[in-house]
Amino acid sequence: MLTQDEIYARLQSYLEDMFEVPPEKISREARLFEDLDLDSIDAVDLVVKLQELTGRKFKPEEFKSVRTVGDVLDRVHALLQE
Amino acid sequence: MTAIPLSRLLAVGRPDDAPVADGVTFARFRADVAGNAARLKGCRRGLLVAADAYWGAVGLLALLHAGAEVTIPPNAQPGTLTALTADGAVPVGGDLRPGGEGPGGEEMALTPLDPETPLTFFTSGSTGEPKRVVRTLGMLEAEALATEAVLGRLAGPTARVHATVPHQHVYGLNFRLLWPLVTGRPFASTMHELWETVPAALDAGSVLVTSPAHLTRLSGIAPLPPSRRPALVLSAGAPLPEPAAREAAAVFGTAVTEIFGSTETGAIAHRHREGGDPPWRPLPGVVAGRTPEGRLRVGATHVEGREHVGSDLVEMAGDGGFRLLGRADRIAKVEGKRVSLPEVEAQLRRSPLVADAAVLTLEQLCAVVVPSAEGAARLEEIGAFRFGRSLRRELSAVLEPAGLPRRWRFVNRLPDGALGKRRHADIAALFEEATLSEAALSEAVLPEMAGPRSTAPDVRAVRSLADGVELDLFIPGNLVQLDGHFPGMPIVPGVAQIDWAVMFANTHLGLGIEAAQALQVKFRRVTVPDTLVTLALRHAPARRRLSFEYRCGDETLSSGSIGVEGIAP
Repeated sequence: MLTQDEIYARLQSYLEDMFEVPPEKISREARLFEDLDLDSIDAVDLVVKLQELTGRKFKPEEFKSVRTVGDVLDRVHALLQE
Repeated sequence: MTAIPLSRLLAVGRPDDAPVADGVTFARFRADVAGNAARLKGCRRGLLVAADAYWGAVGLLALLHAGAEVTIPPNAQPGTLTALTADGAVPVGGDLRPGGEGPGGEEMALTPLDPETPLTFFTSGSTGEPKRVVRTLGMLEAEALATEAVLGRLAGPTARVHATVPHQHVYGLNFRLLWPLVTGRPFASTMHELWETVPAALDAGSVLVTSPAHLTRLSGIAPLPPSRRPALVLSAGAPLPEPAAREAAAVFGTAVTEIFGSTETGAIAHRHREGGDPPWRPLPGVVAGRTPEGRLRVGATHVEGREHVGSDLVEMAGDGGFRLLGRADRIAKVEGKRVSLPEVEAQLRRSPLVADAAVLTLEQLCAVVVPSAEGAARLEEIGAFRFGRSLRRELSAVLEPAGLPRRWRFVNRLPDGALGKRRHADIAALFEEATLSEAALSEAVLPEMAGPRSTAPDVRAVRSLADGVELDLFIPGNLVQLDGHFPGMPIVPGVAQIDWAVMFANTHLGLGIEAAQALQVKFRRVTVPDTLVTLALRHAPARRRLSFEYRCGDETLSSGSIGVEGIAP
């Protein structure tokens, strides 16, 4: 079972490698769209990547309300607890 | 002068003083062929590697008259030649001698050749390995005569033929060598690698055989005076962009004549770029049609089996002409949806922020974009990431999500290969570094809050040189190699520079250097990280050396050379 920190480390590397987000902009508080300049295509790609990481199938609507990096972590963690 | 088919050129002959190439007369040419044919007697298969067009013509005809099969290798790299000579083919090029010289001075009687004699070519191939293509002497002969039927009235009967392309592939072989040879036009034996030497060589009414690789780099060349304007400027290998066609017409005072064809078919159609996008007209004796799947079907006597269906998608225009709609192999499947890569490129080019674009699939859809002046200013202002996202937003208005590129690279010029043909591998190389670090990441244990660190610079652009390759490299400050070398003072160590020269030479030039041996190097300026540098790699097979130079702007940072194992051509 992945810990929150492990998921965060992975998420951070995805943001850097897949989306080329500068590491210094990434924090739990960073807003995906406004601060990190991601768009809806990126959000879908990110969910796909998280599915591969966790081996769980997520529904895109489960991520509809996420705004920040921290929200994504909480969401993934909560879904893995289920 | 009347055209003489290649198979009978030397048996029939021309007047002794008729010019062939650079002051060489027909009598000299015949003696050179006869002498070398006698020397090559008994050779079953020859590999034509002469770099010079005159000696290429001598070697080709000498091999044919000696009864040998001829293979034209795709390049003269040691690895290629080793592979091709493995089954007994003999390289013919630098060893050719003037006829009548040396011991014996024997000459072979030059009787007519069998038009069924096979010649082997290789397709450069937009992806993957070169493919072997066999054509007969008769097909080459028919192609040269069809060329004369359409270009003969545009170029005077004694027009001199110059070229910026090699004669070792079908376009160069026909247009700069065989067509002049069989129609009695003299041709220049040396290829121009740079524009700088072209104006002085051209005279009024001459012919220039060139390609988009050169025609897209005309900026800075002054319009030629009437006494140096060619009658005919030929381009083939890739579509010529409209701005380059306009610039070429201004420089040469002549609209470019584009040739369309392939290694399998030879030249099959032409069009004059006098403005707009005119349809392609088949050469005399060629019939163009469209298959039910929309592919171009070519019927011609100079095509094997008299018919060829390739991967070009077309629509028919009136009068037997056709328009190209792109390549069938450029339809990619992304997330189960069919995406036309040329369409994504066309949509990108429509943006005022974009000057040129190339799109490819590497698991995901990737785009390499050359920003326009406006785009470059915007890129500077908002950075690569947000610039890519803003282009994607523009595209999302006209394309489905599957057609929106996921990864972006911004370069000053798209990498291109011989004749301006875009090579999948060169474009893909721009994404290679990120792919490597992603791979490293998935293998590694979860990293401690830190991103992966690269061991090689980021390749931002790749350009072909006549004898090598040039790469724009970004050297990131967190490179592993920077650790501990000069504490507190980030300098790119020389040993790393040499390693990268070897690594990029192995990947881009197909060399198999295992370690930098017989090294000579001079470090002129320190190279600091977080800068963009240019690495030029030049391979001199004859000297068995790879030379490299790192530059920052016009300033040389370091340069040197490394020994390359392998056979000299």
